[in-house]
Amino acid sequence: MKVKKKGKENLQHIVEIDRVVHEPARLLILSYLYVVESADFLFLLRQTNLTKGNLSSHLMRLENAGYVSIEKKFVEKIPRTLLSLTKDGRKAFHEYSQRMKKIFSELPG
Amino acid sequence: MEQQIDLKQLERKVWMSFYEDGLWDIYLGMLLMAMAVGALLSDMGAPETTLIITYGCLVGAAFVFLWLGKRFITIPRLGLVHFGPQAKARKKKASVIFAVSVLVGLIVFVMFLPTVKDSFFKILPIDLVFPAIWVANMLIVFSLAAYFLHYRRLYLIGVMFAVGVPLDILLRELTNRDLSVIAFGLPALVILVMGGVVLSRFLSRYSLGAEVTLDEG
Repeated sequence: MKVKKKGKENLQHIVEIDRVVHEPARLLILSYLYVVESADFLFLLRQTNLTKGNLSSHLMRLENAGYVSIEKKFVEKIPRTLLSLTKDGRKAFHEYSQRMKKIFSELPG
Repeated sequence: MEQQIDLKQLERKVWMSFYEDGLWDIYLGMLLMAMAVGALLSDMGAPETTLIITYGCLVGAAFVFLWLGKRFITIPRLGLVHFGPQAKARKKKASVIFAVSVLVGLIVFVMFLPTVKDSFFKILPIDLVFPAIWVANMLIVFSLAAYFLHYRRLYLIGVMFAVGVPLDILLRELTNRDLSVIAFGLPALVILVMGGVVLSRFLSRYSLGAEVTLDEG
């Protein structure tokens, strides 16, 4: 009975996974932004090895979810698109990481 | 996503990517080369003012090279990043280490002032103390910086800086000639070649594209 309840809880954890974060490319983007204060588009492009279009569309999705802030400004007279995690984005990434750890620790085998 | 994401490793990778341009190596090589040029001018009997001005200009040129290189070579190819608190702490530690090194340098300078030198080196042999302090200072400072900054080539650069003074003494003993220019120039050349190789690898890996913004994607 206890095992059954635990299995149900585990399934609930899986259902509650944030799908915006869970997508591999977006998870990679969020991971990079999690370890820095901010970075520009070119930097993420180089680090993630995604294509321009792919990176761009994922960033839009993350911005729409309120996880990434996109700021366009001039740095030393050069236009730059600076990207950083919002408070919600940092929280979502942290919660996702904790949830995944829990799921994997509870999985049999 | 086959690999597990290790955030510490990722942060280190991001940090390291900014040392893979070889510019810091070339900068440090230029600093050591400035010492070699200073030694050469000294051998040629140049007045002290000329020595100081030349040395200042070479050090300044090295700094300008580093600054311009980061701005016009690294950032346009690798992008711009503002590091997080971990990296900032790392930079702070390295700054403290280099500040301590400068302090040691100042103490040594004071030790070699005529009034202090005469009384101090009655107890200790000058030929042994100066090289020993130099080697220890260089090895400790560069090793600590390499460790805290995760910048492994700094170990080798530290060794190259450290060998200058003992090599100078050794060459003088062996040849009875002042070969300071070789003693400092040779290690400097090793660092410069290493930096050049790293820089050329960086340039071939990251081509210079047009400015990439989100709108283009």
